[in-house]
Amino acid sequence: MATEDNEVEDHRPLVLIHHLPSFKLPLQDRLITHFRLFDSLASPEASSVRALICVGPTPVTADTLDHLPSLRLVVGSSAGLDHVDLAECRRRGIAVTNNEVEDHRPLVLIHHLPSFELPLQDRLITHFRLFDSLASPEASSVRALICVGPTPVTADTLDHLPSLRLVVGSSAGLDHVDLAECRRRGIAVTSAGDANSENVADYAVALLLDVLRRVSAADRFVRSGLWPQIGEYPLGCKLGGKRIGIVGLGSIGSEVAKRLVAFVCTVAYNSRNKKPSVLYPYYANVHDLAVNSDVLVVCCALTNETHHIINKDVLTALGREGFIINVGRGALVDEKELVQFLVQGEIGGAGLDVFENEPNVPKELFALDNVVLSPHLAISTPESFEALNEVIIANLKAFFSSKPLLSPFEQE
Amino acid sequence: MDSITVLMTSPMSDYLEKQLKDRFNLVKLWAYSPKTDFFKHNSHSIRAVVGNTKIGADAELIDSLPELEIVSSYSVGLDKIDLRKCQEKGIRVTNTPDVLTDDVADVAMGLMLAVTRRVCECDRFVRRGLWPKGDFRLTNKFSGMQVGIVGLGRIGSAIAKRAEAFGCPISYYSRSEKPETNYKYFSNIIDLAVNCQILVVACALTEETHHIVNREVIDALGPEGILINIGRGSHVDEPELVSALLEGRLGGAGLDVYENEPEVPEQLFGLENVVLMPHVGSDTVETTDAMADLVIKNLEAHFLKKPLLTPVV
Repeated sequence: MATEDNEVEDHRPLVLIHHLPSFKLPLQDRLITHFRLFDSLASPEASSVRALICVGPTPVTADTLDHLPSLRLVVGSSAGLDHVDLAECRRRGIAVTNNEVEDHRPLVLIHHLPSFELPLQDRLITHFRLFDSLASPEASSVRALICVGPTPVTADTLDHLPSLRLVVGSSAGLDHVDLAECRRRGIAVTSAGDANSENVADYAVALLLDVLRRVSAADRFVRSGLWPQIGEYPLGCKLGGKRIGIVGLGSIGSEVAKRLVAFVCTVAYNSRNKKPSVLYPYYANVHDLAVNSDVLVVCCALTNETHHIINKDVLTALGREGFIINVGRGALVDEKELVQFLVQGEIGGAGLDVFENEPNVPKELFALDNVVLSPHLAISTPESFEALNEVIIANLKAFFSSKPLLSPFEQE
Repeated sequence: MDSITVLMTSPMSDYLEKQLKDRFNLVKLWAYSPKTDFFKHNSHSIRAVVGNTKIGADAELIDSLPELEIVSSYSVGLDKIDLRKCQEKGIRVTNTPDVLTDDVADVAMGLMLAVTRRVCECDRFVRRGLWPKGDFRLTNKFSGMQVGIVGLGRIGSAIAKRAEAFGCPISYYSRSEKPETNYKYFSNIIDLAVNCQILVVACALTEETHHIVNREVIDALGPEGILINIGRGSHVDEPELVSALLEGRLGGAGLDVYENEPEVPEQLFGLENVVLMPHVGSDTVETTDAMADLVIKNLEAHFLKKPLLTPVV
């Protein structure tokens, strides 16, 4: 029996949980710390209750409201309110609220050629609202785009995107983006940065070892069953002591250098500018680098200036005992000249991951044992895509919160 | 010294052959058939044997050459030489360490990269004209893979140094721990195999290391693991290796040596996760010449009664 001392007055307001038999309101135990609850229109409390919670699409009709003469508030538990007779509520002076969660995700355009997909898009949608067509009405307001693979970003593309302020590249190379036009329009550009550098460097070393020590050619030889018959296999070339010339000492070039130093090679480089913090010898032009190198590893970006940077002159300077590895872009090398040099035996060999007209590869190369061919794969590991995704998201988040970009493209 | 008769056991190097012919009275074992003729006519004059990984100097040969003073091996491996017999008879033995260390380590790295990044398979893919039809699939990143080395001698250490430049954590199993290195030591090969992704065999072949990579080790390495062998074929139980690869119990293998060279198990020829080389670890122009020079220098030193350059016995 309650006594005056033991009685705790219940100050909780009364709320009706209005639900269809099949609908329950989750987390009701939270509500009862604040409110006294009941759930039937037939209950005596219906005449005095001033607020109801409408569970899911339970209808609130004029008839419902007739049972609730004291009602002043309907609290909806969904964004939509089509099950509530809003006009009737308004007529009776009853306020109505819904459960709209505002979408704060920034809008981003996925700019891609039909044949290209952006992997891991599901990660992006937790952070951004996405669309993928320049014809969409959202094109006029979007401030950032992700450029998938080598999809071109031209002046025409930019004309469709008057509010664009950021282009996020998904590769280290940006030769498919009209950088001058972006600069003119005040549009920042980011690249994939260092996300793939290790993978590309690994692959460059793999190609070099393969060419010098004839790994693929030897593998072909063994699989052909010829070893027991022929016995002798042609000697390879020693990697140790070779002078490596790195064309483009960026992130990839630096990783290549670091690896080859461990193989007892010496490293020199050519870059647009000498790098004061780097101890490797610098050559102001690729020809001089080639004269002083046994191997050229091409890792630089493709620009107007570097188109065919490896030309007949450079190949001649590299010489009969010289080797070339290309993990940059096909157009960095005058491919016709290179094929001639290889076919005539005027150069020692080549390891090529990229070509001028992919996926077409000059067929003359297929017959050569001192050439290793690869279908533009240097970044193709699952770890590459994960890392790439992180860089893309990081750059976008920085942009939308006005913080410094992670990997802005800067002319070196 | 052209009165000194030297026996060359097999046609291992044209350059070495010429050097020997220029300096000594060279007898070529493979010029005689059957071998019995050779023993009848030459056995008493031969004072030196130059052997290699194919034919060295076993007990039978040593016993048949009463004037033998020195065996100069055109290899660093000594498994084809009866060292105990040489010791008993006071016969000197030299090999060719150091000059081939870098090249063999480079082949180990070449195999590791080729297997993980499927370089040979990619090259085949392009040469077959398949690229226009579609892309090659993803491969695994090499940098950062855990590398376990069996035998941290000269070659094992050279491999470790190279793999480190790729950010690979290095662990090893050796007869004895090497505290001067920072690499993680395991006291047995099973624990090493459990704790690495790429297992490299770089130790000498002895009675103890015969089939050191057996079924148990292969199972410990597992379906994602890769075996690289630049030691001797007999380090690995080859039939077990083949069935593990065929059944997918081992992730891949890069092999330069086999139990019964030049025979290579044909079942491997169709596998894309395997790279096969015909025992070319030290086969570069520079290194083979350096090895030959070392063989010659050791022989000359011996017959001039000077200290041997790279004696084993």
